[in-house]
Amino acid sequence: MTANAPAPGTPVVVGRDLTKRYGTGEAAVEALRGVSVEVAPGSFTAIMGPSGSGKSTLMHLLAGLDWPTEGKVAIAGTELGRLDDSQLTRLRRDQIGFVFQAFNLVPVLTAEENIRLPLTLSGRNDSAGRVELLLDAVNLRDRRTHRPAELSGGQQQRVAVARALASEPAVIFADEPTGNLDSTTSGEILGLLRRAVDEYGQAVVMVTHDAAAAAVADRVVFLADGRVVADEPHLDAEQILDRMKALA
Amino acid sequence: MTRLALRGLAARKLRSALTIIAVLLGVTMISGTFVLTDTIRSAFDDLFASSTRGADAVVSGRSQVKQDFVQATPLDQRTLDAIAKLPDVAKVAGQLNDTAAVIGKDGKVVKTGGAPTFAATFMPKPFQPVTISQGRVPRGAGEIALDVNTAQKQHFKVGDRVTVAAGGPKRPYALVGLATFGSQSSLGGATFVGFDLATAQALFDKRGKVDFAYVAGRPGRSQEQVAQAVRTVLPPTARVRTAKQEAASQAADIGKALGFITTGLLAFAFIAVLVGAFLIFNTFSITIAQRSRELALLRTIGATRRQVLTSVMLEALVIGLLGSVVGTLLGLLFARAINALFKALSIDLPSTHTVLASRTIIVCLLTGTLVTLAGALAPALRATRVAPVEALREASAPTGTRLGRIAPYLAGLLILGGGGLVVGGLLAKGGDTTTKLLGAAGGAVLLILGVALISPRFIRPIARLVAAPMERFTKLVGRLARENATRNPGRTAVTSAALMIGLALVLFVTIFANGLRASIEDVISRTFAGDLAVLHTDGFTPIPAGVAPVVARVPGVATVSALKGAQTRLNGKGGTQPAHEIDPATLPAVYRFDWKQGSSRTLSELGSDGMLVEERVATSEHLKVGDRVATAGPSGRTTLVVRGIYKDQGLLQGYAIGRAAFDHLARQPRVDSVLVKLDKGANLPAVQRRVAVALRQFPEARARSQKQIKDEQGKSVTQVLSLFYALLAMSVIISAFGIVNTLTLSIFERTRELGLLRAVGMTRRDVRRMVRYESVITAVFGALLGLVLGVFFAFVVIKALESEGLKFSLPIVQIVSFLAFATLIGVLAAILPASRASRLDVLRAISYE
Repeated sequence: MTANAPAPGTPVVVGRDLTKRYGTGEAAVEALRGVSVEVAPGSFTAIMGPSGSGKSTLMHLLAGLDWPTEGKVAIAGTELGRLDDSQLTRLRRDQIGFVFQAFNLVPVLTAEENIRLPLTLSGRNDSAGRVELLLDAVNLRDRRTHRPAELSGGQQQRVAVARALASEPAVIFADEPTGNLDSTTSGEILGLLRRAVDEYGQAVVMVTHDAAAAAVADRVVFLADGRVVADEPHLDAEQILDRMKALA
Repeated sequence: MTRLALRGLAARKLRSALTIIAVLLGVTMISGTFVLTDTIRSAFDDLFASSTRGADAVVSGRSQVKQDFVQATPLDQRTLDAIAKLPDVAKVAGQLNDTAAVIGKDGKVVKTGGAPTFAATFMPKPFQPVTISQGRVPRGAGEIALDVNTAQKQHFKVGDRVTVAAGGPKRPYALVGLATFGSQSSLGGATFVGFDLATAQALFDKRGKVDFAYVAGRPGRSQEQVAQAVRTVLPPTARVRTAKQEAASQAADIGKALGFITTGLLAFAFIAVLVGAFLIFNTFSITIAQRSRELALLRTIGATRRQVLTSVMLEALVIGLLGSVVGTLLGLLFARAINALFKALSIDLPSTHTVLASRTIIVCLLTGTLVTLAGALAPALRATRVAPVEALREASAPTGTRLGRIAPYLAGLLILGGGGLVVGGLLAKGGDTTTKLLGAAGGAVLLILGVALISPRFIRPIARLVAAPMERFTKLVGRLARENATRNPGRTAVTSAALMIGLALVLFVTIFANGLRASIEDVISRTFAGDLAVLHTDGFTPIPAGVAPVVARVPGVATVSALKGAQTRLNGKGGTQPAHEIDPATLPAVYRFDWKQGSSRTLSELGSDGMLVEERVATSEHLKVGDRVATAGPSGRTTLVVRGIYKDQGLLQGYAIGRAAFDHLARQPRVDSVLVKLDKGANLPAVQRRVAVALRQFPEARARSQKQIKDEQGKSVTQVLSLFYALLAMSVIISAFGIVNTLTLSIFERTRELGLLRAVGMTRRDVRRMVRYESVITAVFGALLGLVLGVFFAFVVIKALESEGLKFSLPIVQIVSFLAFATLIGVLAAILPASRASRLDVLRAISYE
């Protein structure tokens, strides 16, 4: 569980002065205007903000899915700007886990194969039996041979979380992971992410507009108009809703 | 709805383009076929119209059977004199036609690729079937003219000395003129040597005789009047036609031959169109499935089923029309390509300005458009059944259709019915051949459709088999490729079925050619007892009879036996049978009779009216030993008595007769071949070299050993085979586009999935490999189906031709290379889709609308 854990205190994700501009000249739109953010190992960070605040853009930049117009991103000490596509792919495979809102699984593979996917792609064999562990952790042992179409939305999302954990990444990015789920199932998924942080010391960055979801995090970063407007330690749902109202 | 359909096309440029290509390639073949044959026909029409220029009537010997190289009874000078005295006639002149070989600067006979080697004389004005475009008309024994084309190809100029073998040994002549025929500089690859009349009469042993007489009437006389007048003075062996009739009858002969080419090429075009139809069907099916949400949305906001149907069919109409128009125009280029292909196989066809007849345009536009509409109809009907509620669902899995439920039964019916027609059509005894062949061809189409319909059932197990090595090699990539290929069995199956058709036919012609080659070798080994055979360099044109005594004098040669040939008609029947003049004294040394009735004694007792009949002729003409047969040849008739029956699929097909009988039928001074037996213990290569030296004066004759003959025959089969391959290539290319199309559309469908795979760490290389493997699985699946069909077709056809000596054998090496070829097609077809899939923008792939 410690293979990729950096020295304590060293942030696993560093974003510095990130600006993202779409288009040029008069028509240019700035999605991000100089955002700096650091994520500590073993921390659970929620990024919140109203629609168009730039929260998704920020996540894409931090996860190396998109490139900043200005500024730098580093993951586990590696600066992304210097990497070509295959190096970036390898970094994603080994250091980053993803949980998306939907379309999280490969439909032709079973639940177990989906969890194993990052390991298979990097050619690692699972000698530690991590996949078995994760199947138990997400309580899907009896569903391992099922395909995504045969699983409920919550079960699918549990597979996705397990897959994100499989490669023991430096950080997991979750993009509205509860966006498509009811409140009970949402609770399950958030509990899993919380356990990943508490039990495995995993760093998690979650983009959400759901106050109840953000309340699970250790830290809430508020964005508005492409800027960080607040960066607070753990807040409860009431407090978060108040902040959001203030921003809107 | 119209605007929606057109916008839809514009928005999906790539897939529209790929679908258009599917229509276009088939139409190109149809258009090209018509353009090519129309162009050739127009060239010939032009030629024949000019060949009778200046004449009102043409007189020639009356012949029972038309045949190249064998003339009907020639006309006497006395006949010409009688015509000249007629009051209606202004002028008459004779022409002599024969064959002569031109020797190139390399000392070898100029190859004509099957076209004749003409020799003819010039006539005084106004008769100018041949005109001099440079230099002058040859005069006297030492001068000739050549056609412009041959002179150009061989780099001969007026004033050069050119060696020609005319009737007898070769000798040099002065080239004094270059000849053209109407507006043509050649007669379709034939060589032409022009002499003056007296020289030709001496060379070809026709002193005082001519083959044709051209007659010009006095001013004011119609062609009919002139012909009528001429008829009164003709002997019974001659006949007269008006110039118009003469040109028309020549054009009709060519028309028949061209019709054969047209039908053959159109058959291949039809296959290409059929393959294209599969592709169109598939593309529309996939796009409809992908657009089901869009269509459902249209339905929720009030579009009627009819409107949805119209919109899809309109899209098909635009694609069909675009593909047809472009295809028709590309046909002009395709015609040239085919002509070049024929030329590469030394089949030189004449052509002038390219002819694009309105019939070509109409047929092409109709075929292309209707086939596209037909292919799109089923998917369009499915589009109308998209329920409005599907607009609200996530990408919905296609639900089972009625066709899906009855498919296995329908497929079974098609396979049994089609297979039955093929077997029945080819193997049944009796009945009309054309009907049976058409039945078999229709059966083949039904069978193909049936196999295509049932094939989705086999895709999973076969994909497992094909993907096994891939999965061993790259576990996940191979696994995903297989899963993707089998995710939508119908889609993959139809894509494969397109390839299946082309590959089935490729394999069929391959196995058939193998059987043919083996049977030819077998026949030669069984019947040819000699060591050498002297033939024309082109293998079939007759050679001077003087060759035989020359070869006989070569040391080491024990026996020579010459064979002559002529086309004849038995008992006044329509079809012709080849007659062979044999020499009963020398033949046994070089030929083994496979007697059905008779023995070597029968041969020695053949007599002047005896005939030996080949088994198949005896069967088809109902002849038994002792029967009397009325026989007509190019220059006369006689009655023969059947003395024996033998079997031979090669050298002596038809029947064999003695010299006296043959002379009644055909005035043929040349021989088809001279078969040679060497002394016991003679050294074959040494004697062959000596024969070659002895034959230097007859450059068109060449001695070949048994093995060389077999090799040459095999080579000519291979040549025809490569022509078939080239024509089938179009179908294979279309089906490769089908794979490109299906993959492109499937990848579009799986954008999110691919984005996910890339996000969790699949490299671009692995994405490309995954798509490539899927493509290879599809292609190899098609090849395997094609293999089964191709072997079945070949087996049945060869069984049907077993009596011709064909034998069926499974060509393992060719099958392996055939599967390797399918793999290659898969790899090539994947290039574009794989690169698109790997260049996919991960961010866009995983973000939500």
